[in-house]
Amino acid sequence: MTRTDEGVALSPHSQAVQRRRRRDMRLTLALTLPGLALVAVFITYPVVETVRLSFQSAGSFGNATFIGWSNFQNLTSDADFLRAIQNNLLFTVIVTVGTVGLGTLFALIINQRVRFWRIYSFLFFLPVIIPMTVIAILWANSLNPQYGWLTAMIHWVFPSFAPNGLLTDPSLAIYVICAVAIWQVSGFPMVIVLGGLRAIAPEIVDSARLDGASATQIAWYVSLPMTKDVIATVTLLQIIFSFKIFDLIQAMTKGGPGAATQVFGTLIYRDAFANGYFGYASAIAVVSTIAIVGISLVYLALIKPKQIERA
Amino acid sequence: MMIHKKAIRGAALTSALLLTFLVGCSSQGDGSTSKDGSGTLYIITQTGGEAKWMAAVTKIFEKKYPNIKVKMDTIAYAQLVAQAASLYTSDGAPDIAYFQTTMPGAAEMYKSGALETVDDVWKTSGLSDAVPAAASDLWSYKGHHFGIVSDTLWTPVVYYNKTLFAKAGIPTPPVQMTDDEWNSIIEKLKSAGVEPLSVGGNDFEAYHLVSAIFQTETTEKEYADALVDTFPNSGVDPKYSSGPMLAALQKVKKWNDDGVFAKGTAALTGGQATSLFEASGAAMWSEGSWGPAVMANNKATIDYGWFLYPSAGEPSKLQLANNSGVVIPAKAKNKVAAKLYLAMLAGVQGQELINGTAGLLSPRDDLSPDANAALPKQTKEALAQQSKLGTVNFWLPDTNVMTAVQTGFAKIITGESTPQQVADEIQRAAKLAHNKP
Repeated sequence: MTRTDEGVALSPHSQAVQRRRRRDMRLTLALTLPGLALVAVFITYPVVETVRLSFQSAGSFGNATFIGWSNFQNLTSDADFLRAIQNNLLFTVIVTVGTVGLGTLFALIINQRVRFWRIYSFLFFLPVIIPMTVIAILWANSLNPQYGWLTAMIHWVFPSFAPNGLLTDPSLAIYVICAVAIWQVSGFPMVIVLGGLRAIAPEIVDSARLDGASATQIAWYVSLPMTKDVIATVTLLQIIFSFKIFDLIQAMTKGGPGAATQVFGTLIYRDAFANGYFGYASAIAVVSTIAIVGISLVYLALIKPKQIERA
Repeated sequence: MMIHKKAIRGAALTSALLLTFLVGCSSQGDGSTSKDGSGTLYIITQTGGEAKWMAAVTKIFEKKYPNIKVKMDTIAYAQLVAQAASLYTSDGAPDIAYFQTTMPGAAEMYKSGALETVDDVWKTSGLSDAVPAAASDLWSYKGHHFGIVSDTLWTPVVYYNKTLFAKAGIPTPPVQMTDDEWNSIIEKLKSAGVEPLSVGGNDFEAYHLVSAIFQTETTEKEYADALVDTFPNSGVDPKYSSGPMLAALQKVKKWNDDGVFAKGTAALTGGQATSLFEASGAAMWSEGSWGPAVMANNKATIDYGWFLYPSAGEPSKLQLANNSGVVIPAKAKNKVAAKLYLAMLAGVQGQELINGTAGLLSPRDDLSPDANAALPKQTKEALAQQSKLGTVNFWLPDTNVMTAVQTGFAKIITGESTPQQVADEIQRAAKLAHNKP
């Protein structure tokens, strides 16, 4: 760099660096612009439009009328909406804990390379790749109160338990769906955590083994602490996936019996497409979005962002 | 430098391809705009009876108009109703579409001019003079017809398995019965170890059942008010927290406590309830006038009869619904052919086919006596007794209210809610609908 009467002049090397930086910036913009355009069209615009609709009385078609906060006020007295809040939180907590716990356990077992570990790995992951609707129909038929094989088996062992069927009992139906979801999705955290376990340097595990640690002690004191970042990441993903649940419940029970398994997704679908109350359904969508964003932010604050970045 | 230029060219090409793909994704409509309707006529209807009937009409239509090729897509009822408003107003709208005056978005569609007026078709097909004035009014807005009423339904009735009734020692039941007669039937069925009633508790059949009981609990004035009170500007305030609706829901609870409903009713879909009855898993089945056509389609072999739901007061009546029909979306591409087709559909020949093909009922009163020959036996019996039994318009409130009734039924029979709580929810839904701007 040399000082001249016009100010500080850059050396040829610095000028070349600056030119390269500007070129890189232009290239970055050019490459990200299409993606940003897609985000604007398919994410930003629908979100803004949904928020706008939530303040309107809007049917399936035709003009919408601005009604202020009325939709949100009506939500507070909607028994089905209040039930959906409860069910969504219950489902999210149970399924997240269940899938991450079970997935981690499967990963630890498979990581031990027990006999036939490849077969176990395939069987644990198989439900993940089966379409959710197929899973839902499979289980709904198995639990049918009239001809379901699983219902017959349960009643053979426990004759007076849920006489009208598990999916017909409003106090049990949501838990049954949670169990199905856990069975279906556990393979996903399993593969993620397995990847984390495989990344642990073998020397660390070997030295723990040489020190006399058992397989369980190695898992508890070595493997799990070293994969906690991965587990934290997959937990956050599971929270988000669970909170957004729709297809499994819609296919199994449509939110019934009554409103016993109603969640935000099924309620939005019902109010928008079955009842034609798009404004009201949009209000539910806005509330559920705020809820999941809030939950995610709280989670991130608790587990510290650095862990997510590292994972 | 060369590498950066290549990368930028690559990004530009990718964007161009993406844009082309997105633009290309927009659907291309079928049909032509020729003066005589030559080309393709695109129809969307629901699966089941309507599809069979329109396929039969299409055969004779294409024979009469060889220059017009009909392309028909069928969609399951629930899916069609959910997407109808957006589908019929899109650029890919069909030329003819199945329509119900109660489906979501229906009122908005005909009020905003999204449907073609078809006064000329009503005239040329003679429909104006052949259907009740109430049916014509239902399909009119500001003096113009926005669609064609294609069939009449009554809903619901109770179909019963004659073999199971005989096994339980129950004589042939009267068509119009009292509550005591009903209770006696239930007791005998349960003593014989037979599940009494199969109904789609997680489907719209639940709403039909409640509406049937509701009608028997009302006075004439109360029922007339109920027919309009959930619609804006009707001038009648809804009252469902008490009175006939509460009485109807309390009856549902009593029936549940008495074991009337088959096991697992709250989770049954309409199809499952049908299968249960066809497999003799239940002695009775709650369904509408299309029930026998469904049974015939499923090749059910049971021998069955029918009667109306019981009443504590005035005898039950047949509840008629004329809310099913077809429309021409304003964005249809071949309106000329569409009107030709509708004229045939609504005319005597097309309407005689509906009886013969699909077991649905024509709303026309000028069909030949032979037109009913192909109807299922049970439907013919009901038709013959229609004037003796008496008819009322079916209660068709806002869809929000129908949903509240349907889910309320399940909540009562699972014990999740009391009849009063469900009545309050129905009232809340009715007020929301009534107060819609």
